Formats: sequence, C-alpha cells, structure tokens
Amino acid sequence: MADRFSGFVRSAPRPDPIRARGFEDRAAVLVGALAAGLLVVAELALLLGGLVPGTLGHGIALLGLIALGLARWDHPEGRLSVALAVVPVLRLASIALPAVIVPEYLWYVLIGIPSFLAVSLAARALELRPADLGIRRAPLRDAAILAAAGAALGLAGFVIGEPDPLPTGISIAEIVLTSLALVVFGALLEELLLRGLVQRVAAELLGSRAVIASAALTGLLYAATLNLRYVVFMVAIAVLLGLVARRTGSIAAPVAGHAVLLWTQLVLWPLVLG
Amino acid sequence: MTATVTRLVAEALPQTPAQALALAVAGIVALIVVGLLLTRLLVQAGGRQNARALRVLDVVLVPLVVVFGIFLYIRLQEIVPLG
Repeated sequence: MADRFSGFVRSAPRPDPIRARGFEDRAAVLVGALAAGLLVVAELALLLGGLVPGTLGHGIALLGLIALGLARWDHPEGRLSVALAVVPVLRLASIALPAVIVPEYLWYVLIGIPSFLAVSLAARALELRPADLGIRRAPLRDAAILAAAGAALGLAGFVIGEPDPLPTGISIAEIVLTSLALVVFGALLEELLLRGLVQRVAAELLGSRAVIASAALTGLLYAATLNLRYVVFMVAIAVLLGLVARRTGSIAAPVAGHAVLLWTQLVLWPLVLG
Repeated sequence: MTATVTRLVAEALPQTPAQALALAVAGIVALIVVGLLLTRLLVQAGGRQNARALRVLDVVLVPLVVVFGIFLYIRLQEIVPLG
C-alpha cells in the first residue's frame, strides 16, 4: 500500500546475483562430476567385469549423459555432457563390431563410421561449425614440428606400448590399408573427438583447464591397454597436442603428430624391429 | 583408442556361429536402440518446440542404429553357415 502511494511498484523479489551464481557453479560442478563419473564407472565395468558389464555400463553412461545434456542444455556443463555422450557410442561400437570374419584393419573402419557420425551430430546439436572443431588450416611449421616429434615418440610408444606384431605374411596392400585406417580412423577421429569437440566444449566450462580435461579423458580411454606406463605416455602426448590445438585453434598439427606417432608405433617399427 | 578395447574384445570373439548367435552384447545394444527410438518418438509427438531435444537424442540414436545394422549384417554372415 505504502509502495503504491509512494510511486513504487512492488515486484517479485529478485534473486541475489551472487547466490544465483553460486548455485550455478555448484550445479556445474555436480553435473560435470556426474558426467565424468558415469564414464569412469562404465570404463571400470569394461576393464574389471568384461564385455557384458562394460556394454551395460556404457549403455547407462550414454543414457545418463544424454539426460544431463537435455536437463542442462543451456549451460556449458550440459553441452559438455552432450559432447561426452560420443564416448559411449564409440565404446559400444568398439565392443559390438569386431568379428572373426572381418579383417582387423576393417574393424577400425567399422568402429570409425558411427563414431564420425556421432561427432558430426554432436557438433550439429551444439551448433558448432567445422572451424569451431578446429577443422581449419594451421601453420605448416607447427604440423611439420609435431610430425617430426611424432616420429621420435613413435619409437618410445613402440617400446612402452609393446604392440602386437603385424601378422606374418601381411601383403603390401594390407599394410597400406592398415596405415590408412590408422591415420583416418585412429589419429583423425581421436583428435576430432578429444581436441576438436571435447576440449572445445570443455573450454566453455573450464577455460584453459580444458586441456587437462581432454588429456584425462585420453588417459581413461587408454586405460584399457592395462599398461600404466603407456597410459601416462599417452596422457603426456595428449597434453602436448591439446596445448598446440589451443594455441593454433586448429587440429591439423595434432592430427599430423598423432598420425605419424601411430603409424611408426604400430606399422613401421613392428615391421623393422619385429 | 579404439584399438585398446578391441584387444580386449578380440580375446572374447565368438568363434562359432552358435556363439555368435548367443552374444549378449547384441541384446543390450538392441535394448538401448529401442529405448532411444521410443523416447525420440515421444519427444517428437511433443511438438516443434522439442527440435533441439531431438537433435541431442540423434547424437547417440543415429550412430547406434548404424552400429546395430552393421552388427546384424556381420552376425548374419557368421550365423549363415548354420542354415
């Protein structure tokens, strides 16, 4: 009454902006932790329980991440959940698609096709253009330096990772196809997912710490090697590639470095050193 | 990254058509695809304002339908010798 006569209109109480920000921060931390937790539990189920618990775990993680994404889609943590939902898709494809009747290099193609599709659909849902994913030119010097580093690190990866030898009697054509599969469905896919999509979207929530988040996800995905030294090695590589991707705004140099590393580690050195 | 899990999978691959037929992984993937498909239909029935939710669901639904399609094709190729 007094307000009306004094010329003020009574309105609904406004939320205290500092308290509201605090709630948003807590919600972001909670959703981010939940999203990461879903992936960690799913990966543990796969490593400790085997294929069926792993499939169930990644199915639950996939549904949980999509639910978080839908619930918080206007917030960075919701967008990150949608980006992370690509990981269980990749894992389900990795579990379901290998078969005895399919040559091993084709496994990566079969797994890679739905994974590329998931990355492109995630980019569409998150309204990211190709340039936002780092699909743009990078200085040739950066790509050359990382490719040279990849060649040197490939030998270290071969020694630490102890990859399976190439099948005896493998033909030149099979070596070429395996190399192509590694470059496109190994290096390009991994950089597009981890540096292009996840690191880009995580930066909206974590800023420069997104490099650490993408490296941590790399470590989680390499945990299946059950080789701690190799996991640490790949996490260190992921930090390097993440820093280069952040500095150049492009995944071209990380793809070059990663492709050379994979090719030397899994094709060249096994051929040369046996 | 994909190779890390395929190494685990390679040790448990079905070696005979009967083992391929009895693979539990197929049932779980099929269940997820059907659940997502039903959710998408329900969301779609909700109207145009749900277009963004549909795009988010498609991030996982479309690739999983592709996975299931490839999976069925490969398993059929393995099972055919039974017939």
